Amino acid sequence: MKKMDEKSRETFQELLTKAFDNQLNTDELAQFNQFVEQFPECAEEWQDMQPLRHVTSTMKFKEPAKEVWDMYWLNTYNRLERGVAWVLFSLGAILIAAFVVYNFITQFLQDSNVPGVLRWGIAFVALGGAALFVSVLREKLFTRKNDPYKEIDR
Amino acid sequence: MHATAEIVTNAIRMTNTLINERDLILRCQQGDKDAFGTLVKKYMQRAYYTALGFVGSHENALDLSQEAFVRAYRAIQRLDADRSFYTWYYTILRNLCLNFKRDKAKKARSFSEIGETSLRSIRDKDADTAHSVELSELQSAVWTALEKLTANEKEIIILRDIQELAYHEIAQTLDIPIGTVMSRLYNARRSLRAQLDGKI
Repeated sequence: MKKMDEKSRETFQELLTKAFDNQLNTDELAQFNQFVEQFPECAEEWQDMQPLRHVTSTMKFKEPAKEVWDMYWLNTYNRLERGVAWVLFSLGAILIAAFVVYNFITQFLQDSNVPGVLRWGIAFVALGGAALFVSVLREKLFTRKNDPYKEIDR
Repeated sequence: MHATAEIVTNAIRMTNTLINERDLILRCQQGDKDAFGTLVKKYMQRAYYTALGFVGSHENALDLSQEAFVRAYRAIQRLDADRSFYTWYYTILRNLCLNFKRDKAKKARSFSEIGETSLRSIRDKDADTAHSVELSELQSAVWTALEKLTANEKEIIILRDIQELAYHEIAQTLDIPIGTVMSRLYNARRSLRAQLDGKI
């Protein structure tokens, strides 16, 4: 029985891959057949791959509905636009919040015309409200990220 | 002779594609969203099916492939216009899909379930029911076996056998030589065959 050298083995592997994919040209097909005839291990390997070749050739992804492709770019464009809108919105919100906090501290809290009890009362309400808002927001985000049933329609 | 002609034809085709793409990428970098739309429309199907191969559900594949396009647009200034857009985009999409799978590892549906939801079976019209049932069982076994392969092995089998990309397209997508595509395919199929030992 003839033994294959390393170089022949590499050549056969390339030819086998092409044969699996129906990509052999005439010369390569002749060379491939020669390998299969001369070396039992090549014939065995080719035979061994046939059932896999048969099954994979029948497996394709389902095509989604035509509307998916019609709407694909529009949906991507909307996401792009929404991304820019969120950046602008967040930037604006941060600027307004900074302005409000600055004025609240420098003007309202230091205004001697307003009774101290009222000033501190409002300061505590504002701080508590902000803490509650952050806490609820964090909980909602956590639930949204980790809810195992979020893809189920309720 | 035939092989050389094929290589030259592919090289010419790839060069023409890159020249057209270069123009589109440069326009994108100047903020032209229509140019980006042309790129999205050109690659959306390939992107969707690639994501489907990674994550296994229609909704997630659609979501991730579109998200990857959005991220690509935001980072387009960093792309060298002489590079292939899809090769670069594919890296973004692949990372996004692998991160998604990692995050959802416990909750995500198994890859073998694709067979129920996203797989179209091409069957011989004249085949009898028994043959069809047998084929379905074999397909299911292949999907399950695919899940046990490494990410690289699974990826190359899906690109070639399910998406039916040509060798040069896979080489361009993965940014590897055609010889490497073939050796990876050979090894991946051997692994898949080993996983299926006794089943087919």
